[in-house]
Formats: sequence, C-alpha cells, structure tokens
Amino acid sequence: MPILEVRGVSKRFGGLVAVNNVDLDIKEGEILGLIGPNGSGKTTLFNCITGFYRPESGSIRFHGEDLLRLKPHEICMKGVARTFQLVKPFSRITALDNVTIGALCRTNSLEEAKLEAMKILNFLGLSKKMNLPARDLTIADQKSLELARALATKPRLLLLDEVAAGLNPKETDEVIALLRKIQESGVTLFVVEHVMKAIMTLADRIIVLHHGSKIAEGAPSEIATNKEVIEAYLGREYRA
Amino acid sequence: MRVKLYEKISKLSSPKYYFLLILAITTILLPLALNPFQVHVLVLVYIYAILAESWNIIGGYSGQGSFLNAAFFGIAAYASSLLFILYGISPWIGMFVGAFLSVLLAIGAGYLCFRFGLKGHFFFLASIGITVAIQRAFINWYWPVNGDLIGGAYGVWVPVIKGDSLYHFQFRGKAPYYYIALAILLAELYITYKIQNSKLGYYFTAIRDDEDAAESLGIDTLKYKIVAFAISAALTAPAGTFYAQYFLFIDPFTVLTDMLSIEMVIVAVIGGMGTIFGPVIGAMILRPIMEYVRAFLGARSGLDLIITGLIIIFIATLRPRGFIKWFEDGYNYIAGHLPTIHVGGEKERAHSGS
Repeated sequence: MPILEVRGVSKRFGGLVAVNNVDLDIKEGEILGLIGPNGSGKTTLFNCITGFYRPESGSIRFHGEDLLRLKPHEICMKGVARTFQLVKPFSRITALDNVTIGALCRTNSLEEAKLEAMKILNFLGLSKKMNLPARDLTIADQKSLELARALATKPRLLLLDEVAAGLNPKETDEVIALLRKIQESGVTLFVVEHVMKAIMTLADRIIVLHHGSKIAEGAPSEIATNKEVIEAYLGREYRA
Repeated sequence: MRVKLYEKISKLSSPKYYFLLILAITTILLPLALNPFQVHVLVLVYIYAILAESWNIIGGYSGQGSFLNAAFFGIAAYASSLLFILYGISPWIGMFVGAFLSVLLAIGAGYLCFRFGLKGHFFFLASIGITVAIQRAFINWYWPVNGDLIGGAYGVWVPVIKGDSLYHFQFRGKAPYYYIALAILLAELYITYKIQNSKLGYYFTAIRDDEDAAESLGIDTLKYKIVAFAISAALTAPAGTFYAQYFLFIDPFTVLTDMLSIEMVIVAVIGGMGTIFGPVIGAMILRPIMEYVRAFLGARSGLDLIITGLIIIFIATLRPRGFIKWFEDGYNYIAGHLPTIHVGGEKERAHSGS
C-alpha cells in the first residue's frame, strides 16, 4: 500500500484551475520529486495535501486514512510534515526555540523537546547557531531551520518545497547529502525542486506538473528525455 | 551536605539576590513611608500593571491585539458588586464569579472571531465592537433593590461597611488595598512566568510570529488562541473587582469603556510587550506621570493625555521594544557594580577557591 494516495484532486481559484485532476502514489521510503514550470500548481498541490487548501474534488489518503477533512495541525499529528517555499521562521525567538516548538507536538515536556531539538540541530549542523534569533540567520540557515522544525515533529512523510532554491553549489550538495540521510532514517520524502541537479540525483521517481495537470511520471532519466516535459519547460520550438 | 549549603548561601549573597531582597523590603515598607496620595498612585500603578500584564498574554505573547479586555474588567466589577448588593455574597467570591463570566465571554467571542479567521485589524475592530455592545447593554440594564433601581447609566454604588472588613473587601486606610493589589500582581507575574516557560508559552509565541508555520507544526491555532484569550480574561477579572471595592462606585462609562483597553495596550507597549516585567515597568512610568499631571493641572486640561501621547511617540522612536531594555541594562550595570557579601566567611572562600 502506498504511504500517500492522491486521486483526482482538483483545486480552483475563481476561473483558474491550479490543480487539475491529479493522481499520484508515494511509496514508503522513496524520494518522489515534483517538478514543473512556475505556476504549474506544485505548491498548491502541497497545500492541498497538508490541509492548507481544501480541494473541490478528489481524495487524499495517508496510510489509507482520509486527510481531506483534517486541518493542517491534525495532518501534522498524523505524521505528515512540510516546509514552506518562502521560509516562515518564528523570527523573534532563537533557532533552538523554533525547533523546540516543532518537537513539542510529540511531548508536553519542555526539557524533552529541547533535547530533541538540540539533537536535530546537531544533525543539520546548526548547533553553533542555536542561540541566535531566527531572523539573524542567513537564508541558507533559515532553510535548514525550516527543515529542522519539520523533522522535529517526527514525520513519516515529509513534503519539502524548494529547499535548495537560492543556495550555492556547495550548499546544494550539502542539502542533497542531508536529504539522503533523512531518507535513510526512514522518512519518505516528497520534494518540489527547481534545482535540476538536486532533483535528478535525489529522486527515485519524478512527477511533472504543467498548468495543473500531470503530464509525465517516471525515473529521472526518462523524465529528462520526455518530449512533453521539454516542451513544457522550453516551448515547442526548442523540441529536439 | 556542607558544601551544598555553602553553595546555597553564596548564591543568596550574589548581587542579584540581595538586590531583589532590598527591592522586596522597600516594596513592603513603602506604604508606611508615603502619604495617602502617594500610596493611592502606587495602587493605581499596580492595577494598571495587572491589567497590562493580563492583556500581555493575548496581545503580547500571542500577538492578538484585543480590545475586549475592558469588558472582562467591567464584567468582573459588576459581577462582584451586584452579587454583594443583591445577595450579600463576599466580593472575594464575586471576583471568581466575575473571572468565570469573563472566561465564558472570552471563549465565546474568541471562538466567533478566530473561527472565521479574524486577524490583525479585523480582530481588533470586532473586539471593539463587542466591548461597545456590552457597554450599551449595561447602560440600559437596571436591577431592582428595595423598590429602587440601580445600575444603568447611573452606575452602581457599593454599600459602605463600617470599619475594616476583609470579608467585605473594604478598608478605611489605603495600605490594605496596596497589599492586596501587590499580592494580585505578584500572583499574576508568577503565572505569566510559568506560562512563558511552558509548552503553552512557546505555542503562544509561535502563533504570534507565524500562524501558518504554527499550524504546520501541529499547533491547533484556533484552540490555543482561545486558551490565551481565556487566560487573559481570567487574569483581568481580579482587577475589576478590586477597582469596584477600591472606588466603591462603577458605571459603564468608567469600567466598560474601550478607553480602558487602550490604556492597557499603551502600558504594555511602553513597558515591553511579550515580556514578564514589561507591563509592570510601563505602569510604573505612565501612571505616576498621568496622576501627578492630573493632580497639578486638573483633569479637564487634557494635558496628561498630551504628555502620554508625547511619551508614546518618544518610546516608538527610541525604544520600539519598550522601556524594559533600559531597565535590563540598568539592572545589569548596578548588579555588576555591587560588592558580593561573603556570608560563608573563610570556609566559603576556601570552597570557591577549590
């Protein structure tokens, strides 16, 4: 059984169909990539899965359980965590407190949550900066913090919205290594990414969205040579 | 064992502790040294500190600018006064009834506002609207007492008891009121401290800084905002009953006015929102200035309000985070320059040397 099962999900904003009848399955333990040109509905799909938007039709099941009626915090408690494309740190408090808040969803003890948060910050290489206010971190560190906070909720499925965007090549390599480590620890990953190097090396499978519809699905090598995908990204005249 | 005891003593003799000890003794002895007007000003300082401290829970820590807190204050003032007049129930019990009713209002209003996603200016407008509606209701609400009507626009006089009575919450002098207000304030500071260092406090802060991120981390933002509102209401209520017993007269224009909410916000903002001592410092600075200016220049001139306005502008430009920062710096400076008292004598020094 797939860990996440999306069937016929559509989301409209007025006349615009942002996500159009999308089906997808995520298998336990894999890294599934989601790509598509700007405005193709990737983030909207994420928002539908995590309860921030309510789709007009379709079904979303996590371990066979319907997520569609649940609120974002309930979905998090079920074990689905996410990061945001535009980082949303709790800017006035320290990095450690940010991650502690994530860990508090699994415990009522502040001590335990802080220990857990320190472990995760250490894992992500942020422990030296844990006492800085989140707003004083670099954008790369804020992205790691976003990831740390999500990990602190102990997810089974982690949805990552462009964690590598805006990072330099060295930082990108670090993020790739990090995501591999997270996968090895038993977390299933669903990753939106524009940085092709990252997605092509990481993902076991890739799904391509265009104008809200799924136009391709397959291994990275298949996607890279798929005519429709190249057309969607570059336009018809560049078709090889 | 011995070593532990010495450790404790040397801790107690550190500048921080005897600074606090001096502060505590001064606070307790103040009413003996001051004239009644000065004690009166301090009582007002404590009332406003309590009000700003309770507003701080919903407005400072949780970031929801509530203007409904005046209603919590007024409801508690009315609840204890009316229970006393109509049924002879002690104002102390009335205080808890008032707190209970305020909490109910907070839960109801909070659910209505937050369920439908009212944030920022819209929550602020809705909370003003509810306050005004409650004020209007009380202006037109009368209670029969011995064939007479009390309440409504005339307000309610709390019957005066002869002599001092703790049961009736009435005293001839100002000192008992001073100590009661101080006790309520200290209790609320302790509660705020406990909240700040708990899951609840962390969740309130998360909601203040980013609600979407908070939701994504498993925080039921609707529930926790209502909880913050209810705590804020429960902490506001004792000040309402205290006010009624201190002035022995309440009417909808003084205890149910949105002006009261504005003053809570000003005190908390000037002192430092989202900090434990910020509201206290705000009250210590603002109330004396306002009371003395009012006493010397007369309430009608409006000069006290002009001066308050100037102070707010001053703070906003110089200290957007409130006066508390200056106090922290000042405290650290003083604490750093105080000599340490060596209670343990040679043994203690030998221990600290090892």
